[in-house]
Amino acid sequence: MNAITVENISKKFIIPHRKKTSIVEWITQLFAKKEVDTLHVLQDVSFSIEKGKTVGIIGTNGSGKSTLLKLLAGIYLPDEGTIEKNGKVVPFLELGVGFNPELTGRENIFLNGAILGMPRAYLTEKFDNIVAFAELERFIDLPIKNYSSGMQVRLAFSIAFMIEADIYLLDEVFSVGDQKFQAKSKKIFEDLKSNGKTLLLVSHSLDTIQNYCDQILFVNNGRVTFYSNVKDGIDAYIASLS
Amino acid sequence: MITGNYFELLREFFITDFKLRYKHSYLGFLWVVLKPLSYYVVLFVIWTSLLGKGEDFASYLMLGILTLTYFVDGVIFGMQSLYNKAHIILKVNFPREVVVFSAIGIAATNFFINLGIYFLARIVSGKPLISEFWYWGLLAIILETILLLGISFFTSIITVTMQDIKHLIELVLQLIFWATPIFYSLSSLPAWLGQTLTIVNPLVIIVSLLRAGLIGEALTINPWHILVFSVGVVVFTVLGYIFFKAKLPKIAERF
Repeated sequence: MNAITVENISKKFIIPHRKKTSIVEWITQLFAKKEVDTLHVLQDVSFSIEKGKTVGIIGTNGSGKSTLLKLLAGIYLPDEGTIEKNGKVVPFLELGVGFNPELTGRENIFLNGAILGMPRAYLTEKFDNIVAFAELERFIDLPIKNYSSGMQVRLAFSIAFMIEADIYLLDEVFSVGDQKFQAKSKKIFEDLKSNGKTLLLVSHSLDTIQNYCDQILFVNNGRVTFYSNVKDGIDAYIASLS
Repeated sequence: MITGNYFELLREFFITDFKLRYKHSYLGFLWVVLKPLSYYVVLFVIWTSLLGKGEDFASYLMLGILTLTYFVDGVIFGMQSLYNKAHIILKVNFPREVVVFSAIGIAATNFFINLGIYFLARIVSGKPLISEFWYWGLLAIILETILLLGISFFTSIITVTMQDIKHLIELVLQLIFWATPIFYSLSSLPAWLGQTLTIVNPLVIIVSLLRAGLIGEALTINPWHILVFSVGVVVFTVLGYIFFKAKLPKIAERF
Protein backbone atom coordinates (compact mmCIF):
# COMPACT_ATOMS: atom_id res chain seq x y z
CA MET A 1 0.00 0.00 0.00
CA ASN A 2 1.16 3.50 -0.72
CA ALA A 3 1.49 5.96 2.12
CA ILE A 4 1.83 8.91 -0.23
CA THR A 5 0.84 9.20 -3.86
CA VAL A 6 1.74 12.39 -5.67
CA GLU A 7 0.45 12.91 -9.18
CA ASN A 8 1.57 15.65 -11.54
CA ILE A 9 1.87 18.38 -8.96
CA SER A 10 3.21 21.79 -9.88
CA LYS A 11 3.82 24.76 -7.67
CA LYS A 12 4.77 28.22 -8.74
CA PHE A 13 5.21 31.38 -6.75
CA ILE A 14 4.42 34.74 -8.21
CA ILE A 15 6.92 37.28 -7.04
CA PRO A 16 5.97 40.87 -7.77
CA HIS A 17 8.91 43.15 -8.51
CA ARG A 18 7.40 45.60 -6.13
CA LYS A 19 5.41 44.17 -3.33
CA LYS A 20 2.37 46.20 -2.46
CA THR A 21 2.27 46.55 1.29
CA SER A 22 0.41 49.83 1.60
CA ILE A 23 -2.95 51.10 0.49
CA VAL A 24 -1.42 53.96 -1.52
CA GLU A 25 0.78 51.55 -3.44
CA TRP A 26 -2.18 49.32 -3.96
CA ILE A 27 -4.23 52.16 -5.44
CA THR A 28 -1.45 53.74 -7.51
CA GLN A 29 -0.50 50.38 -8.97
CA LEU A 30 -4.04 49.27 -9.59
CA PHE A 31 -3.83 50.22 -13.23
CA ALA A 32 -0.11 49.92 -13.65
CA LYS A 33 1.26 47.06 -15.65
CA LYS A 34 2.05 44.27 -13.27
CA GLU A 35 5.66 43.24 -13.31
CA VAL A 36 6.06 39.85 -11.79
CA ASP A 37 8.48 37.00 -11.83
CA THR A 38 7.05 33.55 -11.82
CA LEU A 39 9.14 31.06 -9.99
CA HIS A 40 8.35 27.49 -10.94
CA VAL A 41 9.50 25.72 -7.83
CA LEU A 42 8.11 22.31 -8.71
CA GLN A 43 7.00 21.18 -12.15
CA ASP A 44 4.95 18.12 -12.95
CA VAL A 45 6.14 16.04 -10.03
CA SER A 46 4.87 12.49 -9.58
CA PHE A 47 6.00 9.75 -7.25
CA SER A 48 4.60 7.32 -4.76
CA ILE A 49 6.00 6.12 -1.49
CA GLU A 50 5.24 2.74 -0.06
CA LYS A 51 4.10 2.44 3.52
CA GLY A 52 6.94 1.75 5.94
CA LYS A 53 9.71 3.12 3.73
CA THR A 54 12.24 5.72 4.73
CA VAL A 55 12.83 8.12 1.89
CA GLY A 56 15.62 10.62 1.74
CA ILE A 57 15.00 13.90 -0.03
CA ILE A 58 18.17 15.43 -1.40
CA GLY A 59 18.96 18.41 -3.57
CA THR A 60 20.82 21.68 -3.43
CA ASN A 61 19.60 24.75 -1.55
CA GLY A 62 16.65 26.32 -3.32
CA SER A 63 15.93 23.23 -5.38
CA GLY A 64 12.41 22.89 -3.94
CA LYS A 65 12.88 20.40 -1.10
CA SER A 66 11.17 22.55 1.51
CA THR A 67 8.34 23.46 -0.84
CA LEU A 68 7.80 19.77 -1.49
CA LEU A 69 7.61 19.07 2.25
CA LYS A 70 5.24 22.00 2.78
CA LEU A 71 2.99 20.68 0.02
CA LEU A 72 3.00 17.24 1.62
CA ALA A 73 2.27 18.82 5.00
CA GLY A 74 -0.69 20.73 3.57
CA ILE A 75 0.76 24.15 4.34
CA TYR A 76 0.85 25.03 0.65
CA LEU A 77 -1.67 23.82 -1.88
CA PRO A 78 -0.44 22.59 -5.26
CA ASP A 79 -1.45 24.69 -8.27
CA GLU A 80 -2.03 21.52 -10.23
CA GLY A 81 -2.08 17.84 -9.48
CA THR A 82 -3.10 15.79 -6.48
CA ILE A 83 -1.52 14.54 -3.29
CA GLU A 84 -3.04 11.54 -1.60
CA LYS A 85 -2.00 10.59 1.89
CA ASN A 86 -2.92 7.40 3.73
CA GLY A 87 -2.63 7.96 7.45
CA LYS A 88 -1.86 10.76 9.84
CA VAL A 89 0.92 13.09 8.73
CA VAL A 90 3.04 15.11 11.12
CA PRO A 91 5.34 17.79 9.82
CA PHE A 92 8.61 18.51 11.61
CA LEU A 93 9.75 21.29 9.33
CA GLU A 94 11.27 23.02 12.27
CA LEU A 95 11.62 21.96 15.87
CA GLY A 96 9.89 23.97 18.56
CA VAL A 97 7.25 25.64 16.42
CA GLY A 98 5.57 28.33 18.49
CA PHE A 99 8.09 28.09 21.33
CA ASN A 100 7.92 31.27 23.29
CA PRO A 101 11.09 32.38 25.09
CA GLU A 102 9.12 34.03 27.90
CA LEU A 103 7.28 30.86 28.82
CA THR A 104 8.72 28.10 30.97
CA GLY A 105 9.72 24.74 29.60
CA ARG A 106 6.59 23.28 31.15
CA GLU A 107 4.31 25.84 29.48
CA ASN A 108 6.04 25.42 26.15
CA ILE A 109 5.52 21.66 26.24
CA PHE A 110 1.77 22.17 26.35
CA LEU A 111 1.77 25.00 23.81
CA ASN A 112 4.03 23.30 21.27
CA GLY A 113 2.30 19.96 21.86
CA ALA A 114 -1.11 21.48 21.17
CA ILE A 115 0.17 23.14 18.00
CA LEU A 116 1.44 19.75 16.87
CA GLY A 117 -1.98 18.29 17.56
CA MET A 118 -1.55 16.46 20.85
CA PRO A 119 -4.37 16.57 23.41
CA ARG A 120 -3.57 18.04 26.80
CA ALA A 121 -4.41 14.82 28.63
CA TYR A 122 -1.94 12.94 26.45
CA LEU A 123 0.76 15.54 27.09
CA THR A 124 0.14 15.37 30.82
CA GLU A 125 0.56 11.61 30.68
CA LYS A 126 3.78 11.86 28.68
CA PHE A 127 5.10 14.91 30.53
CA ASP A 128 7.67 13.08 32.67
CA ASN A 129 8.93 11.15 29.65
CA ILE A 130 9.39 14.33 27.66
CA VAL A 131 11.30 16.06 30.44
CA ALA A 132 13.43 13.03 31.14
CA PHE A 133 14.29 12.49 27.50
CA ALA A 134 15.27 16.13 27.14
CA GLU A 135 17.29 15.86 30.39
CA LEU A 136 15.77 19.07 31.69
CA GLU A 137 14.34 17.96 35.05
CA ARG A 138 16.03 20.79 36.96
CA PHE A 139 15.15 23.53 34.50
CA ILE A 140 11.63 22.72 33.43
CA ASP A 141 10.08 25.64 35.32
CA LEU A 142 12.51 28.23 34.01
CA PRO A 143 11.62 30.44 31.04
CA ILE A 144 13.27 28.88 28.02
CA LYS A 145 15.03 32.15 27.16
CA ASN A 146 17.41 31.07 29.91
CA TYR A 147 18.07 27.74 28.17
CA SER A 148 21.04 27.17 25.93
CA SER A 149 20.17 26.58 22.29
CA GLY A 150 21.03 22.91 22.74
CA MET A 151 18.62 22.62 25.66
CA GLN A 152 15.83 24.28 23.67
CA VAL A 153 16.28 22.01 20.75
CA ARG A 154 16.40 18.93 22.99
CA LEU A 155 13.10 19.95 24.54
CA ALA A 156 11.57 20.57 21.11
CA PHE A 157 12.76 17.21 19.85
CA SER A 158 11.42 15.39 22.89
CA ILE A 159 7.94 16.92 22.48
CA ALA A 160 7.81 16.34 18.75
CA PHE A 161 8.52 12.64 18.92
CA MET A 162 5.74 11.96 21.39
CA ILE A 163 3.30 12.22 18.49
CA GLU A 164 1.78 9.05 17.22
CA ALA A 165 1.47 9.32 13.46
CA ASP A 166 1.86 7.24 10.34
CA ILE A 167 3.86 9.57 8.13
CA TYR A 168 6.64 11.79 9.43
CA LEU A 169 8.05 14.69 7.43
CA LEU A 170 11.45 15.54 8.83
CA ASP A 171 13.54 18.53 7.82
CA GLU A 172 17.07 18.20 9.19
CA VAL A 173 15.93 17.29 12.66
CA PHE A 174 18.30 14.48 13.50
CA SER A 175 21.40 16.55 13.83
CA VAL A 176 20.47 18.33 17.04
CA GLY A 177 22.11 18.17 20.43
CA ASP A 178 25.42 16.77 21.54
CA GLN A 179 26.80 13.31 20.77
CA LYS A 180 24.94 11.71 23.63
CA PHE A 181 21.63 13.23 22.60
CA GLN A 182 22.19 12.36 18.96
CA ALA A 183 22.65 8.76 19.94
CA LYS A 184 19.31 8.88 21.74
CA SER A 185 17.58 10.52 18.81
CA LYS A 186 18.99 7.92 16.42
CA LYS A 187 17.40 5.31 18.64
CA ILE A 188 14.01 7.03 18.26
CA PHE A 189 14.49 7.15 14.54
CA GLU A 190 15.27 3.45 14.38
CA ASP A 191 12.24 2.65 16.53
CA LEU A 192 9.99 4.59 14.14
CA LYS A 193 11.50 2.68 11.25
CA SER A 194 11.05 -0.70 12.84
CA ASN A 195 7.48 0.15 13.81
CA GLY A 196 6.64 0.46 10.14
CA LYS A 197 6.25 4.23 10.02
CA THR A 198 6.76 6.06 6.77
CA LEU A 199 9.53 8.62 7.06
CA LEU A 200 10.48 11.40 4.65
CA LEU A 201 13.78 12.89 5.56
CA VAL A 202 15.41 16.01 4.18
CA SER A 203 19.09 16.06 4.93
CA HIS A 204 22.30 17.45 3.56
CA SER A 205 24.22 14.74 5.32
CA LEU A 206 24.79 12.03 2.75
CA ASP A 207 25.96 9.77 5.58
CA THR A 208 22.58 10.01 7.26
CA ILE A 209 20.83 9.40 3.96
CA GLN A 210 23.01 6.43 3.15
CA ASN A 211 22.62 4.87 6.60
CA TYR A 212 18.90 5.23 7.06
CA CYS A 213 17.08 5.62 3.78
CA ASP A 214 15.60 2.92 1.59
CA GLN A 215 14.86 5.18 -1.35
CA ILE A 216 15.71 8.64 -2.64
CA LEU A 217 13.81 11.58 -4.01
CA PHE A 218 16.29 13.78 -5.82
CA VAL A 219 14.99 17.32 -6.29
CA ASN A 220 16.74 19.26 -9.01
CA ASN A 221 15.49 22.49 -10.62
CA GLY A 222 11.87 21.77 -9.81
CA ARG A 223 11.98 18.22 -11.14
CA VAL A 224 11.85 15.26 -8.82
CA THR A 225 13.41 11.94 -9.69
CA PHE A 226 12.64 8.83 -7.69
CA TYR A 227 15.39 6.28 -7.08
CA SER A 228 14.60 2.96 -5.51
CA ASN A 229 18.30 2.45 -5.02
CA VAL A 230 19.91 4.88 -2.58
CA LYS A 231 23.33 4.74 -4.20
CA ASP A 232 21.93 5.67 -7.64
CA GLY A 233 20.17 8.66 -6.14
CA ILE A 234 23.24 9.89 -4.34
CA ASP A 235 25.35 9.41 -7.46
CA ALA A 236 22.88 11.48 -9.48
CA TYR A 237 22.99 14.20 -6.84
CA ILE A 238 26.77 14.27 -6.76
CA ALA A 239 26.90 14.31 -10.55
CA SER A 240 24.57 17.33 -10.60
CA LEU A 241 26.93 19.26 -8.31
CA SER A 242 29.89 19.14 -10.62
CA MET B 1 -4.37 17.94 8.45
CA ILE B 2 -4.20 17.74 12.21
CA THR B 3 -7.68 17.63 13.69
CA GLY B 4 -9.43 16.64 16.86
CA ASN B 5 -7.84 19.08 19.22
CA TYR B 6 -9.50 22.27 18.06
CA PHE B 7 -10.50 23.46 21.52
CA GLU B 8 -7.28 22.40 23.17
CA LEU B 9 -5.35 24.48 20.69
CA LEU B 10 -7.72 27.41 21.19
CA ARG B 11 -7.19 27.12 24.93
CA GLU B 12 -3.39 27.05 24.59
CA PHE B 13 -3.30 30.06 22.26
CA PHE B 14 -5.70 31.92 24.50
CA ILE B 15 -3.78 31.25 27.71
CA THR B 16 -0.40 31.98 26.13
CA ASP B 17 -1.46 35.21 24.46
CA PHE B 18 -3.21 36.39 27.57
CA LYS B 19 -0.17 35.69 29.74
CA LEU B 20 2.29 37.23 27.33
CA ARG B 21 0.32 40.38 26.65
CA TYR B 22 1.01 41.73 30.09
CA LYS B 23 4.07 39.76 31.08
CA HIS B 24 6.67 42.43 30.57
CA SER B 25 5.03 45.35 32.24
CA TYR B 26 5.33 46.51 35.81
CA LEU B 27 1.60 46.78 36.24
CA GLY B 28 1.04 43.57 34.31
CA PHE B 29 -2.50 42.44 34.38
CA LEU B 30 -3.69 45.78 35.83
CA TRP B 31 -3.42 47.30 32.36
CA VAL B 32 -6.63 45.49 31.42
CA VAL B 33 -8.43 47.63 33.97
CA LEU B 34 -6.35 50.79 33.82
CA LYS B 35 -7.15 51.73 30.26
CA PRO B 36 -10.94 51.98 30.56
CA LEU B 37 -10.62 53.36 34.08
CA SER B 38 -8.43 56.26 32.99
CA TYR B 39 -10.81 57.06 30.13
CA TYR B 40 -13.54 57.00 32.67
CA VAL B 41 -11.86 59.32 35.16
CA VAL B 42 -10.96 61.92 32.55
CA LEU B 43 -14.34 61.94 30.84
CA PHE B 44 -16.21 61.85 34.12
CA VAL B 45 -14.34 64.76 35.68
CA ILE B 46 -14.54 66.95 32.59
CA TRP B 47 -18.10 66.19 31.76
CA THR B 48 -19.53 66.52 35.26
CA SER B 49 -17.72 69.82 35.80
CA LEU B 50 -19.00 71.13 32.48
CA LEU B 51 -22.59 70.06 32.80
CA GLY B 52 -22.99 68.80 36.36
CA LYS B 53 -24.64 65.56 35.30
CA GLY B 54 -26.61 63.52 37.79
CA GLU B 55 -25.71 60.37 39.62
CA ASP B 56 -26.59 57.89 36.90
CA PHE B 57 -24.10 59.46 34.56
CA ALA B 58 -21.32 57.44 36.18
CA SER B 59 -22.86 54.14 35.08
CA TYR B 60 -23.97 55.56 31.76
CA LEU B 61 -20.42 56.65 30.98
CA MET B 62 -18.81 53.43 32.22
CA LEU B 63 -21.02 51.25 30.02
CA GLY B 64 -20.17 53.43 27.04
CA ILE B 65 -16.46 53.04 27.72
CA LEU B 66 -16.77 49.28 28.23
CA THR B 67 -18.53 48.88 24.89
CA LEU B 68 -15.91 50.94 23.11
CA THR B 69 -12.91 49.29 24.80
CA TYR B 70 -14.22 45.85 23.91
CA PHE B 71 -14.63 46.97 20.32
CA VAL B 72 -11.18 48.58 20.05
CA ASP B 73 -9.44 45.60 21.71
CA GLY B 74 -11.32 43.12 19.55
CA VAL B 75 -10.63 44.94 16.29
CA ILE B 76 -6.92 45.38 17.03
CA PHE B 77 -6.26 41.89 18.43
CA GLY B 78 -8.33 40.28 15.68
CA MET B 79 -6.66 42.22 12.89
CA GLN B 80 -3.17 41.12 13.97
CA SER B 81 -4.12 37.56 14.85
CA LEU B 82 -2.99 35.76 11.68
CA TYR B 83 0.01 37.99 11.06
CA ASN B 84 1.33 37.46 14.59
CA LYS B 85 1.16 33.69 14.14
CA ALA B 86 2.94 33.66 10.75
CA HIS B 87 5.87 31.66 12.15
CA ILE B 88 3.54 28.85 13.18
CA ILE B 89 1.28 29.00 10.13
CA LEU B 90 4.30 28.47 7.90
CA LYS B 91 5.30 25.29 9.71
CA VAL B 92 2.21 23.46 10.87
CA ASN B 93 -1.18 22.94 9.33
CA PHE B 94 -3.64 23.61 12.14
CA PRO B 95 -7.16 25.05 11.91
CA ARG B 96 -6.29 28.70 11.29
CA GLU B 97 -9.51 30.25 12.56
CA VAL B 98 -8.44 29.27 16.06
CA VAL B 99 -6.14 32.32 16.18
CA VAL B 100 -9.06 34.67 15.42
CA PHE B 101 -11.25 33.06 18.07
CA SER B 102 -8.41 33.30 20.54
CA ALA B 103 -7.89 37.01 19.80
CA ILE B 104 -11.56 37.84 20.26
CA GLY B 105 -11.61 35.60 23.33
CA ILE B 106 -8.91 37.76 24.92
CA ALA B 107 -10.79 40.96 24.10
CA ALA B 108 -13.96 39.41 25.56
CA THR B 109 -12.10 38.39 28.72
CA ASN B 110 -10.85 41.95 29.18
CA PHE B 111 -14.42 43.13 28.71
CA PHE B 112 -15.83 40.77 31.32
CA ILE B 113 -13.12 41.67 33.83
CA ASN B 114 -14.05 45.33 33.43
CA LEU B 115 -17.73 44.50 33.56
CA GLY B 116 -17.01 42.74 36.86
CA ILE B 117 -15.47 45.92 38.20
CA TYR B 118 -18.48 47.88 37.02
CA PHE B 119 -20.74 45.44 38.89
CA LEU B 120 -18.58 45.82 41.97
CA ALA B 121 -19.04 49.58 41.83
CA ARG B 122 -22.79 49.08 41.48
CA ILE B 123 -22.83 46.80 44.53
CA VAL B 124 -20.80 49.27 46.60
CA SER B 125 -23.11 52.11 45.68
CA GLY B 126 -26.13 49.95 46.48
CA LYS B 127 -27.65 50.00 43.03
CA PRO B 128 -29.23 47.09 41.16
CA LEU B 129 -26.82 45.15 38.96
CA ILE B 130 -29.13 44.75 36.01
CA SER B 131 -32.47 46.15 34.95
CA GLU B 132 -35.64 44.24 34.22
CA PHE B 133 -34.69 44.49 30.56
CA TRP B 134 -31.49 42.47 31.11
CA TYR B 135 -32.02 40.55 27.88
CA TRP B 136 -31.12 43.67 25.87
CA GLY B 137 -27.75 43.70 27.63
CA LEU B 138 -27.17 40.09 26.76
CA LEU B 139 -28.10 40.76 23.14
CA ALA B 140 -25.64 43.70 23.09
CA ILE B 141 -22.73 41.53 24.24
CA ILE B 142 -23.60 38.72 21.82
CA LEU B 143 -23.96 41.11 18.86
CA GLU B 144 -20.72 42.91 19.63
CA THR B 145 -18.85 39.60 19.85
CA ILE B 146 -20.29 38.33 16.57
CA LEU B 147 -19.53 41.66 14.91
CA LEU B 148 -15.91 41.55 16.13
CA LEU B 149 -15.48 38.05 14.73
CA GLY B 150 -16.86 39.22 11.38
CA ILE B 151 -14.56 42.23 11.24
CA SER B 152 -11.57 40.09 12.22
CA PHE B 153 -12.30 37.49 9.54
CA PHE B 154 -11.85 40.25 6.97
CA THR B 155 -9.08 42.32 8.55
CA SER B 156 -6.86 39.42 9.68
CA ILE B 157 -6.56 38.26 6.06
CA ILE B 158 -6.15 41.74 4.61
CA THR B 159 -3.47 42.66 7.17
CA VAL B 160 -1.26 39.84 5.92
CA THR B 161 -0.91 41.38 2.48
CA MET B 162 -1.49 45.02 3.29
CA GLN B 163 0.05 45.98 6.58
CA ASP B 164 -0.82 49.63 6.51
CA ILE B 165 -4.49 48.78 6.81
CA LYS B 166 -3.80 49.14 10.52
CA HIS B 167 -3.36 52.89 10.17
CA LEU B 168 -6.69 53.11 8.41
CA ILE B 169 -8.29 51.03 11.13
CA GLU B 170 -6.75 53.17 13.89
CA LEU B 171 -8.28 56.19 12.20
CA VAL B 172 -11.67 54.53 11.96
CA LEU B 173 -11.47 53.57 15.65
CA GLN B 174 -10.73 57.18 16.56
CA LEU B 175 -13.74 58.35 14.59
CA ILE B 176 -15.90 55.70 16.20
CA PHE B 177 -14.91 57.02 19.62
CA TRP B 178 -16.42 60.41 18.77
CA ALA B 179 -19.33 58.97 16.82
CA THR B 180 -20.53 56.79 19.70
CA PRO B 181 -22.67 58.23 22.49
CA ILE B 182 -20.20 57.40 25.25
CA PHE B 183 -20.23 60.63 27.22
CA TYR B 184 -23.03 62.45 25.40
CA SER B 185 -26.49 61.10 24.74
CA LEU B 186 -27.95 60.45 21.34
CA SER B 187 -31.04 62.51 22.15
CA SER B 188 -28.93 65.62 22.77
CA LEU B 189 -27.88 65.57 19.11
CA PRO B 190 -30.03 66.96 16.29
CA ALA B 191 -32.40 64.23 15.12
CA TRP B 192 -30.86 63.82 11.67
CA LEU B 193 -27.39 63.38 13.15
CA GLY B 194 -28.58 60.87 15.70
CA GLN B 195 -30.29 58.84 12.99
CA THR B 196 -27.27 58.97 10.72
CA LEU B 197 -24.97 57.75 13.49
CA THR B 198 -27.37 54.95 14.36
CA ILE B 199 -27.15 53.75 10.79
CA VAL B 200 -23.43 54.14 10.12
CA ASN B 201 -21.99 53.23 13.50
CA PRO B 202 -22.88 49.76 14.81
CA LEU B 203 -21.77 50.70 18.32
CA VAL B 204 -24.67 53.15 18.70
CA ILE B 205 -27.23 50.36 18.81
CA ILE B 206 -24.99 48.07 20.82
CA VAL B 207 -24.29 50.64 23.54
CA SER B 208 -27.98 51.57 23.71
CA LEU B 209 -28.91 47.92 24.16
CA LEU B 210 -26.29 47.44 26.87
CA ARG B 211 -27.52 50.47 28.79
CA ALA B 212 -31.14 49.38 28.42
CA GLY B 213 -30.22 45.98 29.81
CA LEU B 214 -28.04 47.10 32.70
CA ILE B 215 -29.34 50.48 33.85
CA GLY B 216 -32.80 50.40 32.29
CA GLU B 217 -32.24 53.37 30.04
CA ALA B 218 -35.23 53.84 27.74
CA LEU B 219 -34.57 52.27 24.37
CA THR B 220 -35.32 54.88 21.72
CA ILE B 221 -34.45 52.63 18.81
CA ASN B 222 -37.26 51.01 16.88
CA PRO B 223 -37.38 47.21 17.56
CA TRP B 224 -37.54 46.57 13.83
CA HIS B 225 -34.32 48.46 13.43
CA ILE B 226 -32.75 46.25 16.12
CA LEU B 227 -33.94 43.13 14.33
CA VAL B 228 -32.60 44.29 10.97
CA PHE B 229 -29.32 45.27 12.62
CA SER B 230 -28.98 41.86 14.33
CA VAL B 231 -29.62 39.98 11.11
CA GLY B 232 -27.17 42.32 9.35
CA VAL B 233 -24.44 41.59 11.89
CA VAL B 234 -24.92 37.84 11.51
CA VAL B 235 -24.93 38.02 7.70
CA PHE B 236 -21.81 40.21 7.75
CA THR B 237 -19.97 37.73 9.96
CA VAL B 238 -21.04 34.76 7.83
CA LEU B 239 -19.73 36.59 4.76
CA GLY B 240 -16.53 37.31 6.68
CA TYR B 241 -16.15 33.64 7.47
CA ILE B 242 -16.69 32.67 3.83
CA PHE B 243 -14.09 35.24 2.75
CA PHE B 244 -11.69 33.99 5.43
CA LYS B 245 -12.10 30.36 4.43
CA ALA B 246 -11.71 31.20 0.74
CA LYS B 247 -8.45 33.10 1.26
CA LEU B 248 -7.01 30.71 3.84
CA PRO B 249 -5.51 27.98 1.64
CA LYS B 250 -3.13 30.48 0.05
CA ILE B 251 -2.38 32.54 3.13
CA ALA B 252 0.90 30.77 3.94
CA GLU B 253 2.30 32.07 0.64
CA ARG B 254 1.38 35.67 1.38
CA PHE B 255 3.50 36.32 4.45
